[in-house]
Amino acid sequence: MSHETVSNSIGMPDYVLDAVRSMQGVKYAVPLYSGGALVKLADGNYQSVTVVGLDDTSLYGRPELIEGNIQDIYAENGFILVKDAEYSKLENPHVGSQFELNDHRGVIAGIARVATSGLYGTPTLYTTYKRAIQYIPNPRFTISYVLVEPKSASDIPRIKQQVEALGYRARTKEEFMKRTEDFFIYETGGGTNMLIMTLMSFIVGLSISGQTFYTFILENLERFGALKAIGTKSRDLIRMILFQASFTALTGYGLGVGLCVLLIYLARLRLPSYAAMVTFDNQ
Amino acid sequence: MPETAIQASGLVKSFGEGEAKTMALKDVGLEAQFGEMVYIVGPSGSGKTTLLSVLTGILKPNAGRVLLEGVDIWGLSADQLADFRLAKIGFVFQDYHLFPRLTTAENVAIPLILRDKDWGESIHEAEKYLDVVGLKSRAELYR
Repeated sequence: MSHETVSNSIGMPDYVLDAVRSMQGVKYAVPLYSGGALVKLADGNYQSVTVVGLDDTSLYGRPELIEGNIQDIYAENGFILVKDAEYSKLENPHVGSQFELNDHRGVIAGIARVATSGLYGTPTLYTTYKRAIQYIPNPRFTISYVLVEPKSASDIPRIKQQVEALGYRARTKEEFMKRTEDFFIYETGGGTNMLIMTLMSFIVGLSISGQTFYTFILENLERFGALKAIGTKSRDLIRMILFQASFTALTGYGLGVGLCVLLIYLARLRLPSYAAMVTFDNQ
Repeated sequence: MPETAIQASGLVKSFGEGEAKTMALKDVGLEAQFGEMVYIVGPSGSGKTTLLSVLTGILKPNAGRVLLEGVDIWGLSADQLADFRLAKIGFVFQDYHLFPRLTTAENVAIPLILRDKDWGESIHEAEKYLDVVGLKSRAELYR
């Protein structure tokens, strides 16, 4: 639960956590911090990062580690770094690497896998809730989210009702994902821009390829006529043309995608923070 | 098999409408027997190509009937007519209409390939007939 914003969270007072813990149907509830900070790199430059503070006791909401031990997050200045598309912006650290965050020392205690990359183009660091609010300058209220585990699925509607009575909103994981998705697609320019770009590309591509094939048919009309006269059926001629069109389309599609991948790869060699990436599956 | 190969009667074919209407064929009839060689001669624009197109199932007449081997070709469906042309009629076009990306043998073999005959066999048969007309040396050449 949080205030109704998607791209940012507004802190909630501590009593909200206590109120939620005492609600009927709640098995347990933990706080989650989410905020931004600046990491000082070895070359003296600064890099924005997103810091997520997990409940100290349960570490509820922790990511899956691919390197290191989650318990090491309790070690002095321990942070978990997510290995996503933004990982290289912190100069590809490894377990044990040290960095400076808001004049505090940080140590990479683990590297985590993530389901999808972040939306803001910044690396993501996980640490404990107490360390996060200690290291990062904050407003008075520091709880960005309260993560709730219901006693059973049937308690969810009742919990939502109780939360709304408090003046907040509760969403399940799926609802939260959908709300975030809808926000970025429909309430920012991103979705509309992509749609317009796709439509324009489709129309232009269709026009060019349509024109090309029309010209091809005109130039070969005599030969089609000869084939027809010899005894080729109309549907066979159509099949020939469709085969050619499909073959050309697939080849063009493959070349187009390949060229795009190559260009992104080359761009990222030159500009590591280039805002595009190539994935071969949904990771 | 009937002795009469081609029997055409009352053929009428016009192009255009109204004042621009051109009568290419007006009540034309023709009969040809098997084994007979028929020459259709006439000045340019007299309707020779139109007549041949109508007789071979390429152009549909406005009126009249064409029987090839006793079959009324203009009573057939489009697919049946295509099959009939493929099986019974051979064409040598005025402008050749050869396929430049195919060899001589491949051009000759097209009707066989259209009849789903094996590619190798079709080429072999084409080369055999090219040999008959003295063009075997050009079988592998392009246009």
